[in-house]
Amino acid sequence: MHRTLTLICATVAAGCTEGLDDVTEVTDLRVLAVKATPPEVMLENVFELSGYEVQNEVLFEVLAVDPRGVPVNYRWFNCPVESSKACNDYVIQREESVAISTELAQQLVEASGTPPTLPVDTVGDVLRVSLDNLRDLGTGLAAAEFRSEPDRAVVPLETNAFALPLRVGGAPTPDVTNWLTSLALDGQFGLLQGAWPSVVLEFEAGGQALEVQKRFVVNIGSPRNLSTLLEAFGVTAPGTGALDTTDVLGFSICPPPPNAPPPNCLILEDRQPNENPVITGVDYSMGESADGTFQTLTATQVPQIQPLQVLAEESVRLRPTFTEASFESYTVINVDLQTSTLFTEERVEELSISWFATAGELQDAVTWPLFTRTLDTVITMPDAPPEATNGLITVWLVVQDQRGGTDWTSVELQVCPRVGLCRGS
Amino acid sequence: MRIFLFETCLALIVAVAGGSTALAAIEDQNVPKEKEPEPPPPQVLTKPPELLQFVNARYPQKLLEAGVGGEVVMQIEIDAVGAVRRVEILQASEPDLATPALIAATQFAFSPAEINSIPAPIRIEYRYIFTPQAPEPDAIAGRPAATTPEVLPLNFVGVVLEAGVRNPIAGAVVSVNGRRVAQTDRRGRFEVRGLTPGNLTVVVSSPYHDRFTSQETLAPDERIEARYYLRRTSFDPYETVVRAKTERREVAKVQLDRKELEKVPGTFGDPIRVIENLPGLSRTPGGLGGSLLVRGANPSDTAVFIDGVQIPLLYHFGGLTSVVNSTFLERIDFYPGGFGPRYGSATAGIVDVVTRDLDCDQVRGSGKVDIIDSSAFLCVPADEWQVAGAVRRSYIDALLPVVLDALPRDEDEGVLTASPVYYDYQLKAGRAFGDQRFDVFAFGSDDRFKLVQSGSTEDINFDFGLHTAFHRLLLRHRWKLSDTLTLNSQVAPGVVLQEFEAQASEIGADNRFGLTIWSLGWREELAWKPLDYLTVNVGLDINFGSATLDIDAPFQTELRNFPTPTFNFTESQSFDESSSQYNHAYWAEAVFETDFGLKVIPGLRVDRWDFRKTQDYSFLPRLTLRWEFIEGSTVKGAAGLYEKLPQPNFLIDPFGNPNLPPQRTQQWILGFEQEFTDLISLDIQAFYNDRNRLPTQTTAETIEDGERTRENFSPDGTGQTYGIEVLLRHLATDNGWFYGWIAYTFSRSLRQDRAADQTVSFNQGQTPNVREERALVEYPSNFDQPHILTVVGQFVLPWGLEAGIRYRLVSGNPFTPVEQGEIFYDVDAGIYSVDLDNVERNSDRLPLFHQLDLRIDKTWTFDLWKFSAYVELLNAYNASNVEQYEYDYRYDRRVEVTFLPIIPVIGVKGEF
Repeated sequence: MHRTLTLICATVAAGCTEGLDDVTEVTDLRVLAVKATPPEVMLENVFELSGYEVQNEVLFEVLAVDPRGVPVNYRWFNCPVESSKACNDYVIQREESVAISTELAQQLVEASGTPPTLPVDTVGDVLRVSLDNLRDLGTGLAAAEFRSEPDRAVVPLETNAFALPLRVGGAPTPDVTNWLTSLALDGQFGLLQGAWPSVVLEFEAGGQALEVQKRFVVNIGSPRNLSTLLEAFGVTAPGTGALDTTDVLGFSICPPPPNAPPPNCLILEDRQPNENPVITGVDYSMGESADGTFQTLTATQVPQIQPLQVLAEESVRLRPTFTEASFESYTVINVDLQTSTLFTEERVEELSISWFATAGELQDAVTWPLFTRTLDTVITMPDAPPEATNGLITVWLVVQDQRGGTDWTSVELQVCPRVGLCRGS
Repeated sequence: MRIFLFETCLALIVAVAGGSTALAAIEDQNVPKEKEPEPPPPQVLTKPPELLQFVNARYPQKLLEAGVGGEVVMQIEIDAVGAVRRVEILQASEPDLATPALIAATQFAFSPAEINSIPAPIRIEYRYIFTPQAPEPDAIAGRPAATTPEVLPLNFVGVVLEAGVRNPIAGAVVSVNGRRVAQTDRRGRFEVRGLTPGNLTVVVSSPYHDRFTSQETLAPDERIEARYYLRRTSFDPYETVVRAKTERREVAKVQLDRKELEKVPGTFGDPIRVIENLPGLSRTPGGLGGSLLVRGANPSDTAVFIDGVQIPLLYHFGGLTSVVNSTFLERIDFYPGGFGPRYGSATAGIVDVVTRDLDCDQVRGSGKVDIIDSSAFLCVPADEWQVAGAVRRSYIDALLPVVLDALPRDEDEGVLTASPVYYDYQLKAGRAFGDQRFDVFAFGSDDRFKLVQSGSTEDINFDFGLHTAFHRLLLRHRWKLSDTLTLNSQVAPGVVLQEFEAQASEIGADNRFGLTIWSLGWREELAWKPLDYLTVNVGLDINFGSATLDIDAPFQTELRNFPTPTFNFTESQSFDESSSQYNHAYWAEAVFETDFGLKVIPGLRVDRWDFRKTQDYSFLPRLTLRWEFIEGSTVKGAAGLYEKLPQPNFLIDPFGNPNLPPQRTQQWILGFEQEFTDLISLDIQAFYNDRNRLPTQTTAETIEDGERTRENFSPDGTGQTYGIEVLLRHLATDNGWFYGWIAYTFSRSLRQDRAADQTVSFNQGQTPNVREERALVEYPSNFDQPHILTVVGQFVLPWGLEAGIRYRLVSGNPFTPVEQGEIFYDVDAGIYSVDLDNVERNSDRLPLFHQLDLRIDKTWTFDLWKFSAYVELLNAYNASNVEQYEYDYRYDRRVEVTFLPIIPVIGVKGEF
């Protein structure tokens, strides 16, 4: 259904946002998405294994574009615990994190027998680095890794990917303890409901600077291990010195049967780590109203070898498709406001799509079934092919779930000035 | 026979002498002559004295023969029953006119003046004009009018009324064929006996009215029964405004009468909005105005009353128009600071809208129509009672689709907008019982939004409603127990409703918010004057409220809700809560007056706060000093403590802190008043307000019985406002051609509190994840406007025209240049965020605001009714005033947002 009604504000203001850039229109350096793989890390066996055998890795990939085709420099930062300011409130901690991480990394490397020289591994476009090397390696590899295609104004940067190995476990060192204890109570519920360390990516291109923050989730798989973790790392409730999880969290977790549950305990099943959604293809429909039958571009066709040809001012309706596994079930802890009690809820992920394009007019910036009814949207071509790109328009679709899972794809559209000049010619 | 043509002018200035104070001053001859005997507060002249019996003065023969006229200005003291107690000659153009005028004035009879609707002594100035006129041949041959015997036939009777409003004109002189034959009584009636049949030229004259001439034909054995309508000569003949030189006790109070209120440009003809043009009030950003930004404080720090009853809102939709029909207004008292202990629950200013006592002796009504709303008023006398009602209803919702349909846009594009719909009503009845008066006043207001769809027939499956309403009933009893004791009692039950509802059926969203507050207010005020130099006022102020909150909304209550670009409107929770509030206050003040013009008013107010977990007392001493060291020159000062509870959102846990103490402001005022003439005055005030205990965010936690609780807010916030206010004012009078004022304010308003964002710390080797408390930061408050200049002028033009002008020149509001912050893209939330840690808050300022508003009124007067129309031109020279900056999604570009281009507003009004 078309959303032809526009909600306007009852104001006599003049100007409003007229003349300001549209968030969907990509004209210069933009980071459209950062994907963490996996988006959620489980510290499942940290208490059962001795030494530093456990190795969790998170791979970060970035969808960065700059239609101007200028050189880009960039570097990575690590933000050890949750930040609401892209680590800008960690001016001191940034330096400390490097220091801590260096020591930690050295210990990890020594314990696991990994050669001390970093980066430790390279597989294709994926670089495996440790915490302290994110910054230096990122800076050093910037010029080489960015790909510039002279015949295309758009510079896709998604091939630049780096891995952040998280290796924690064994006998707690002060550094490990500090970091884990921070995570354990991060945001009050910490590892029970997800601690959010983040990485920060800094770009510089053509005099334009951009800083991007991406969180990933660190959790424990079984909530019943929380007390063990707290005890292992000496985490106490601020102010009370309590060790009991009930004191720390303010509620108790029901033990597994046949143990008798204490009153008002919360039943929490083992947590399944979140996975990124996967786009399998893009359905499209073209025509004056873009209401025709959808045709499909499969995953193997996206990005396409040949762009779709579209007339100027014509509209194209786009709709991504996903794997069934993209819609995961998960459990959340919620609060009943009336009784001030906690309860658990089972949910299924509702994916949302953020839309971006180098030209044309997108009907929606974000589509989400719970708000816009459907995931599809319409892009209307400009009245003339964009000259800078020889009539080529790129549309990016970035999908996100509710837990940090991300995927993306793009669709290429060739704008034709009129019938016969482009389509079928 | 000597025939005099008298033109009498009722007082231009009536000096209010309130209650026993004035009486005592009159009786005690040793008391120095004072123009302003002191009444107990608040003394308001609700009804001026009316001359019922006029007595001709003897015209000195030699002056009459010489054709010499003149005038005598007298001060007449009138007692509470309307009798003349004392006459004093103030000025006489001819010494020989003084004594005859004095003798005549002592025989005058008046209707009693009323102060606070209770008969009271008063002192007025009266100008007696002597106009010599040569004797004319008697229209009735050989029969002097003065000796007309009553046995002659009564063949000419009539009544003289004021055109348009039909008020009887007392004291009008009726002449027939050039000879004075009668004078109207208090009901405007006159009788003439023994007129010779034939053609008669009837002339009726009155001091404030145009001379009226009529040709009548009197047949033998017949009687003429006439009804004459005289038009007033003043520019606004239907306003009975007597400039009441009321007692000045407060240091910063500004009182505005209706005459000064209704025609100020830029106010949509809304009298209450005129206060926005006074010193002490900052300009509300956004063009519509409406917020009461008093001396740099938050709007919630200023309380609004109607007849002493606090109301939750003063304007429909925050600024469109006020919630009280202007017909009901008597005056507006605006205190930008330094108010006495009678008022509480406010730390900045007070706006007290005072409605008038009903005075309709016949059915009266009015109707008003403009582009926003329409209103009607009707007043009906019923035996001893008088009953009046008014109602107003907007119709923007009806007009908006027409406007929207006219806008150019694509064929398939529709527009959906929210249109404000509002109404208000007032119903009042009152009567006097001797020394007592009883009034019942019901009033209320209702605002709601209505969705208006234009240009599309698509079913939007969406609806939302915003509803704010209040209803109050005020029962008031005023009793003059004795000459020295007055008791005012009032009880005011009421209800406030706030509702919001949003539905989107297709996506299953159904959210609502409802807040209902039932309240009962009780006020007692006793004014006692035991001594000539002492008046004591005491009172109690009790308020009980019961609130019910009912919410069904998409609360983000999920623990650790990961940031996303979307918001789920469909996952809602129900929540209802009830709480009660019981605040009571006791106050007292004493007014000491000295022989040398010094007035000292110490006062104390004790508030007891009882709201949920908040149990607290406030002891609030206040002191006011006024010293009129030379007649017309007064120095003044005030100091006091003012406290109020923080807004409920700061107090209600778990999001607020129930242990917050009342907010406190210390106010200091030093000022000077100079009355250049009776009409022109200058008021200069320097003030300093020190605000503290303001809620500010905190990361602190309290541990009680092993339970950790986040405080959320601490009372560490502070603020200061200081400045100088100047008001040069020309008062309005009945016959004046101009009134207006120039108001200038220089002020600075500062705040100290913590920034909204919190810091997360990674403390190595210590207790992890302890949030660091930020330091208090000083910055200009959001309402800091260093320079505010307002010029208001009203001019009387010929042909029933009146023109008004308002010009404003105001410093731009401060704002934080967010583009100077560290901007980053939160890729999870899909938004660009700004870290403002290194950006000085409110360190930049919008450009200077300037705007000219014009208005012109035209009145047509008919015998039984009058009709007026006005055109108002807002922003006459179409200034593009920047009200804010709008940033793009990543804060690297901004555009200016301007409000209110040149806008014409028209309206009409009919009265009968």
